[in-house]
Amino acid sequence: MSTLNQIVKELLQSGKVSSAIGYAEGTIPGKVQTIIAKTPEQAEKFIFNSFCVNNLVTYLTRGFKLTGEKPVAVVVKGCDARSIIALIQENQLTREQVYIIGVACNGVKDKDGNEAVKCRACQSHTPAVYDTLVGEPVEEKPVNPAEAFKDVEKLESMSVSERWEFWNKEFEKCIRCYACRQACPLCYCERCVVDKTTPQWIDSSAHPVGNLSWHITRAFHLAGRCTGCGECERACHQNIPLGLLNKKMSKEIFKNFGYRAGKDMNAKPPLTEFKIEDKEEFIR
Amino acid sequence: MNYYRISAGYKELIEALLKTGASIIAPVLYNKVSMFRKISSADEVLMPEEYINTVRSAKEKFFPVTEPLVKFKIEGKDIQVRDIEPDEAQTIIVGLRPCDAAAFNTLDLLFSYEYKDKFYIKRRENTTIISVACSKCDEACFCTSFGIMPDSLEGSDIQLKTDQDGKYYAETVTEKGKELASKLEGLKASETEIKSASIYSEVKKKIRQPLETDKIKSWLDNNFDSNFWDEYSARCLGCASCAFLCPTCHCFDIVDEMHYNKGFRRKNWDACQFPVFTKHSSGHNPRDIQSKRYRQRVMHKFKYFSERFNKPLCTGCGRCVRACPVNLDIYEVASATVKY
Repeated sequence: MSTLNQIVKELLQSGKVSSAIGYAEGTIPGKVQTIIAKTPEQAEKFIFNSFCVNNLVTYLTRGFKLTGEKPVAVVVKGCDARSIIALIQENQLTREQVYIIGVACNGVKDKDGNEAVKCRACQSHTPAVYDTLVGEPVEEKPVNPAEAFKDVEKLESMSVSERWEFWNKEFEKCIRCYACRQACPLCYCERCVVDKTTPQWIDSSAHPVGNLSWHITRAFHLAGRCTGCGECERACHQNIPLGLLNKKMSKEIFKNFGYRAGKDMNAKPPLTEFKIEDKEEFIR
Repeated sequence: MNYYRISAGYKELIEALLKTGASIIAPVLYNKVSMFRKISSADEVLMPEEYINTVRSAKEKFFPVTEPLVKFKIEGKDIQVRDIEPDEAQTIIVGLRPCDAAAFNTLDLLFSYEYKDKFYIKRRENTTIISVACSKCDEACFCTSFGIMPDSLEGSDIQLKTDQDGKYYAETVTEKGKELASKLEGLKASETEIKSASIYSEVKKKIRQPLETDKIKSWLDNNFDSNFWDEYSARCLGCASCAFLCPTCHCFDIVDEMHYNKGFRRKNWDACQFPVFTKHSSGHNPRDIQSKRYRQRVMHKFKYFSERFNKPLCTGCGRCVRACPVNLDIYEVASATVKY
């Protein structure tokens, strides 16, 4: 039995946590399954391998209630830990409510077996926060910033009309299944703006206006909050590069406020804070 | 006879279809996603060897993701309302798999039940379905659970298969199919039955073991309030990937969309996994938690629809299995019910 299984077993056996969220073998190649274990016997099903691309932190803000007095254990990679930090910053979680089983990660794969996009410029191989760590901390290699934002820069180099055409062609495929929203750990609103009908802010129809309004609104809502975990893009079976949209917003936030989401638990997210030295050129 | 030799290959057949003047819908790779779209040249088409099944099913060609039903305009106290009529274009859908073709027969039951959906019905009448038998499957396929085979003819007007020499031939299934085949360039009626390649029975063996649908239904009959639902749905994220990619899911929402003083009443896809799906205007929601919503999905697939129409609401195409972001596999769940 591996360290991970042992840790989960002990946590559940001792009653230290109410349940443990992790990865288990999937039913088709290249896919892993979420397991939400409540008994120590289930601990043996826990795995960690290069297909564990999912961000399980999403479950902490879903129907899965953090109501008990005991914390919930969750298996997190370095990138996933950033979502926990972001949720704590936004008062959606307290540190005590979650027992973090950190895993040192050497990169994970996408559905086609290639290195996941989010791993290409990863600076969080080891979780920044954890209660117990499985594996040895991975040394962070410096990432060439030019390389990290190459895809965003390609987008920026397009003319306005080219970019308009690019996004419209991508959004045209959207069927409004909201897998992007449901897979996102930071999309935790009890009632999403798109579901509001009095008034109907965003057309619910999957036509060009509805799709464009939905994706732009979502990108704005995630600006300065998205940690780049890539779940929206992974969940999108229509292959819409949603991560690119969020990455562009992250780049703008970093440029203007020097802020990166999910890095520092004590930092104030820029869009929730006022600073006298903030640039306000847009107001003039 | 119902067998036709095809003088050239698949692409030439598509060319011949294009010459009929009908609107031809076929699987294409559109911006990195395989789906059914209207084509204007055979070169656009994905060859049957290039896909197990398309990411998007062909249901959207009869039941689009969004569709205007009524057009309206408000001027002062005057409201002008105009019905929208379905278009009459003759259409041929080619390249779909037997599981998808069979799904149309399932959808027909629903859309021609008490209320006759004129849009759906008109399109169905004007469309000829040419399926392609499956020479391979993947780990998500489970059509045999519902009596569908890699070369099932249900729902097809014509089916393309390969013979023992590896050549395509056409088998006509309906009068509509025969009529089309008889006028297609490059098709020659065969005097004798053409034997299909043994590959289809080989593929059948590789498909997931058939589900015991009768047993599953009796379990469902008695276990509405089982803890099973909490346990198995806990990992469901509540998106509609499964429902929207499904060739048989058919729930829709009706919305009025107005910009300034005019707009449309539209029919949009909807899904039982969304919290707002059953939310009443009072604020009460009978399916207030995900386990109730997931239960509804399984019940509708294996119990409710069968009770009304004597047919399960699933053809085992495997799209939901492939697309689910957390690998909540309906085959696995359905198998687990009877062992619970």
